Amino acid sequence: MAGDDLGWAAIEALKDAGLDRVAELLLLDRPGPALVDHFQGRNRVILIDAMHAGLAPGSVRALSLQELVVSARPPSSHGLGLAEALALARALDCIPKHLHVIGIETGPSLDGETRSIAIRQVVQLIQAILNETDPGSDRSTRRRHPHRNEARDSAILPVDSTSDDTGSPMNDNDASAAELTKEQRILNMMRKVLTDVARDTHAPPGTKHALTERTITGIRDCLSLISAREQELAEALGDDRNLRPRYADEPRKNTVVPINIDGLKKRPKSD
Amino acid sequence: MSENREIRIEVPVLARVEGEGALELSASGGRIETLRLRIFEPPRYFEKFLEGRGHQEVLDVVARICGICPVAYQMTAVQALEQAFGVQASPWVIRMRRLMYCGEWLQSHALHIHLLALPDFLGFESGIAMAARHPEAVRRGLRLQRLGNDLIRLFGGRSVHPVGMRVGGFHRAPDPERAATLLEELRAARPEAEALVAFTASLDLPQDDQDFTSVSLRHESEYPLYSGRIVSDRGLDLAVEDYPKHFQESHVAHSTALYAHLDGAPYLVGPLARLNLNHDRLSPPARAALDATGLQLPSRNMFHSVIARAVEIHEVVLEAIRLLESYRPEEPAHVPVTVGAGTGFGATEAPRGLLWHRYALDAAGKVRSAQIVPPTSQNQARIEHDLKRSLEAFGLHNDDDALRLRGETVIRNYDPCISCATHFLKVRIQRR
Repeated sequence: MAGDDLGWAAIEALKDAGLDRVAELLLLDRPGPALVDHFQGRNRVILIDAMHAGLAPGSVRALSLQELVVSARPPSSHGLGLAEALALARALDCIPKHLHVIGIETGPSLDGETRSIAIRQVVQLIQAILNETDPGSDRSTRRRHPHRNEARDSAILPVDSTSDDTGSPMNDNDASAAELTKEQRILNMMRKVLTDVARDTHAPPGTKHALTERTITGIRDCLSLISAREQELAEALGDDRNLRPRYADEPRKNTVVPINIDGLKKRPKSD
Repeated sequence: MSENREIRIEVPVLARVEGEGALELSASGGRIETLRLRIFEPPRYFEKFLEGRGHQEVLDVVARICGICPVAYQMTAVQALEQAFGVQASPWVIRMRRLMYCGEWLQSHALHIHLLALPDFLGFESGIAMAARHPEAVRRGLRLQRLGNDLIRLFGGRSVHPVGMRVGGFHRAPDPERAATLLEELRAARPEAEALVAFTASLDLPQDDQDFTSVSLRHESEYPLYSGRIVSDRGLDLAVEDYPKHFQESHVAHSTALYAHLDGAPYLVGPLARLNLNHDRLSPPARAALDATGLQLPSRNMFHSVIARAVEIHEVVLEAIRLLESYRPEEPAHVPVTVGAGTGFGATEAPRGLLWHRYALDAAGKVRSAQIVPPTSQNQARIEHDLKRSLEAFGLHNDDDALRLRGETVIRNYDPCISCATHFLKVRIQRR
């Protein structure tokens, strides 16, 4: 799947940002139930994974344990994904005290620029988590490989809200964010249904449309209102949304400048 | 049954079996008239994908058939390719392949016993639900599974779709320090593996003896894993290349997976068939642990499969310890390979049973044709036969939920991998 390596790319970026000096960075390849084993003796763990949650490609979200576990299905030998592994870990009472799960929305339309922005967001988010009061000496940042839409039914916490996060999967500060997220999900679903109705009732040129002109205008107005409200919510959350479609040959207004992070790091003084 | 109704029961489709399928049965007067194990997982066309591919690509392609038993596919394919090229792998390579294969059996069996089969026998919906009440059993399974994965990783770089194998041997020999560490961990796990045999034998397993034909490899001195002749408990004894003379694959309308028959009749492959045919090949400590359970072999009770898996876990832990104790790296870790036209055959024992491959290659070493017969395809006809027999013995007067659960339990005994076979479970019961 395109963008399936987003978690691994994030770990590489965390290494480049020097975070391997303050946290153990591990790349896990489809660990399944072995994820439980990796939790042993850990106080703080951050999981990074690509996800399909119906968001715009490149969206970065902190996911709650509770909602992930609720989405777990009875495991099979091959279908034991992140949600099932977390449900198993919880049943075995070995969820780390401080567990963060960060999802990065992937998809075939994820372009290089959006991907880079998403990775930078992940780095910033994890820096914020690690800058919190140290809850213990053992920190791990881990990545696993997704099999399927593990985050589909998850509560999606806006990235910036986690800077106030005390580390627990859900705390009081998350409540308002979770409400907003619910509204975002409703809006997202309404937009999908309306566009599906438009597509399913499409009439070839010269034929009478199944919908009345009034209904068509109503759908257009609804979609405009949804977009406007989504923009308001994104701004309230400090989320930089840029979902406007563009043509492949449309000149870009911004330019990505590669930066060698190593060059920006403080070098030890030579004696 | 005087009832005349059609009931659809939605079973959690991926409940502890792999893939997409359904069970349909119609019953009249307390007897099953028709029973179909419908497999509707789309065909995966791996054999056609392989055509035109270079021999170097085959091991990477066939590993993708299954995320749980990629080593089995690689081992079987590499045997066939080496036979086609006239390559004789060194004794060191053969020992190391057997060692790596131990890892796959260990991880696959440990997962199946503890998370997939055990909930049936301890009365839980799933391994996750069982974990809260029996955490130590689940933790044991996870420890054994991790050890198996570590063994695969030692040779293959990673446990899923490993990349260490090549025609002629391995790309490199494992690091002796890592091998030594793993040896100590396996030694520490040995008592746990031995105790698992007694644990599974103490389970309250249903008693349901059936008549079936067991088929497996048989090696002249070892418990069959990497090599041997194809044998049955009805007198069959074949060289690997003679498999098509007695085993036939065929399409049925209700399944996208091929069905295999032995001279026109269903047969069993897998842990119970292997143990029935090869218990005399177990190492003395594994044999002693098995004897202590009092299990009489050959067994005709398919529910004894869970004990067979535990015996095999014990055996591969012992075998891995034995092979690691004498481990010395060998470089290069492969013999030279000269590519040429030819046809080769391979057969190994995957965790789920006999796996058979055939490849025809051209002068450039590209695949002209490929045939892969996975264990689940071979067990499909037997599963249907078992289901009919088991559900009638269980009693069709039981309610739909009870029938569904018994049906699933029967199927899980086989640990079917529908993904491998093409690639379960909606149950539709029609009573008249």
